[in-house]
Amino acid sequence: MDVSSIPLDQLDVITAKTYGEHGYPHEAWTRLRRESPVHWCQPPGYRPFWAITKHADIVEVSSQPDKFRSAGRFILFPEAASYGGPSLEEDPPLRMLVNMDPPEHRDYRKLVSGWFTPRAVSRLKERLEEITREMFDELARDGGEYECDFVREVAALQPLRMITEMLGIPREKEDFVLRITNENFGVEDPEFQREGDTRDDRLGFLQEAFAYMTEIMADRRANPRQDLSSVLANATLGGQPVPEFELFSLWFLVMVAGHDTTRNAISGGLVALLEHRDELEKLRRNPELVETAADEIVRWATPVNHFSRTATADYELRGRKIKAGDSVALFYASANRDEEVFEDPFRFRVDREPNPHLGFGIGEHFCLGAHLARLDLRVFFRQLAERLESIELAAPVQRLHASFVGGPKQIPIRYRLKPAR
Amino acid sequence: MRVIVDLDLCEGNALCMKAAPEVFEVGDDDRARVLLERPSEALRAKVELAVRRCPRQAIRLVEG
Repeated sequence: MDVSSIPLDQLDVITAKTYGEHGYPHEAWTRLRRESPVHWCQPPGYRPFWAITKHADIVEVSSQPDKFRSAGRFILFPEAASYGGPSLEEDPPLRMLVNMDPPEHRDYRKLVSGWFTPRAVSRLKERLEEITREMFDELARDGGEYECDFVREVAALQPLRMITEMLGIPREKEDFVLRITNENFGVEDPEFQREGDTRDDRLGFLQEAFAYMTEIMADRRANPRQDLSSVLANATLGGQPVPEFELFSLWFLVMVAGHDTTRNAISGGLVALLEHRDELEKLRRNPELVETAADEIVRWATPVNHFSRTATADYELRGRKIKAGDSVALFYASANRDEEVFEDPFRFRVDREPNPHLGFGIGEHFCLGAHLARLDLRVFFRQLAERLESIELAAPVQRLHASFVGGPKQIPIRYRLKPAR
Repeated sequence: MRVIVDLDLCEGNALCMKAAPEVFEVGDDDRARVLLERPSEALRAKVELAVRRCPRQAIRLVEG
């Protein structure tokens, strides 16, 4: 989209529709980085916010959770929801890691962080390879040419299977978890959002998830197993059981954020490889390159596009005066194209190194699942590179209408994969 | 200069060890250990890289 003649104040970097119809607004961000990297935005339908588009500024804000809190407005949604009830911003339906601050944030994070360290994640590698192989075996069938929707039938499956196994959720519940997740991140998407006039209707997926979690928690209290649900069910904070609302929020966060973002990275990675055929060939010739390709895919796709913080005191950033109470939106996808940090930022290069992207954030709220995501991506793209015979788009890519967590919603492909040995 | 790791933040991402193996080690407990609390000036560039690369921004350099 050519935005060079649009006044800065009219650049749209936030409406879900723009993301759905045109993809991430990189042209707008490139102008903002150059002309007004800390920019006061007042788009119609939204409470105003500062758009932070430079890498260094996002690091500065993220490293000071005491000056920029996560509680409160942590995602930008339209002010007037099209349905009744309080807006998602005024009254978030969950209290989880992403809208908590230290010291509380650290206490909750430590309940589960031991499951996501590099060492803990490396123990999952073999199982993940098995899950991925099984999936590609089924897709390959006899090695002939077939068509499918890559997002739903491929990218969504592998990370979903891994996180549900970690949580001890049985495979027959996969479709349920997938639907709940789509309704959560697609709350502004015309295809995925739930019907209904009230907030409770629109957020009905939370009630369903809560009912299911209650069942699992009761079971794991009676019969603990070696899974994350058992850890959460029996967790205590300061000697007390974790309050139910916060427990549900954390369980829900691990469940949905534990795979949806990775699905978007895998999908975004495939689109990037299809658009950069030379890079796909490089990867096929040398599958070892997945080691660096995983981070390049996260940089390129940046599935978590933004989070918002609230200034707790007046703060000066690049000469702009942020006031206490102002919202500060961190656009990670923009930082990941910052010309001052990345050489040739608009080139997708599977061997890019170093790659200090902010696709996983940085500081207090650095992505808990970053190592799992990297492993998912490495295992996935290594096996794809080794088995791929041919691949092309069968129809145009459709994108999710979302400016929080987003990416391709549908990638119709025609492909041939080496069949199971 | 003095190197300080906030162990309340550290989650064993081990990028510090990659940037400055002379100064940091990540053990079996998934926590970084500072091997040289007062590294020489020759190691400054490496230590500063470790500070920048730490995903949780858990490393601080204190001058003097």
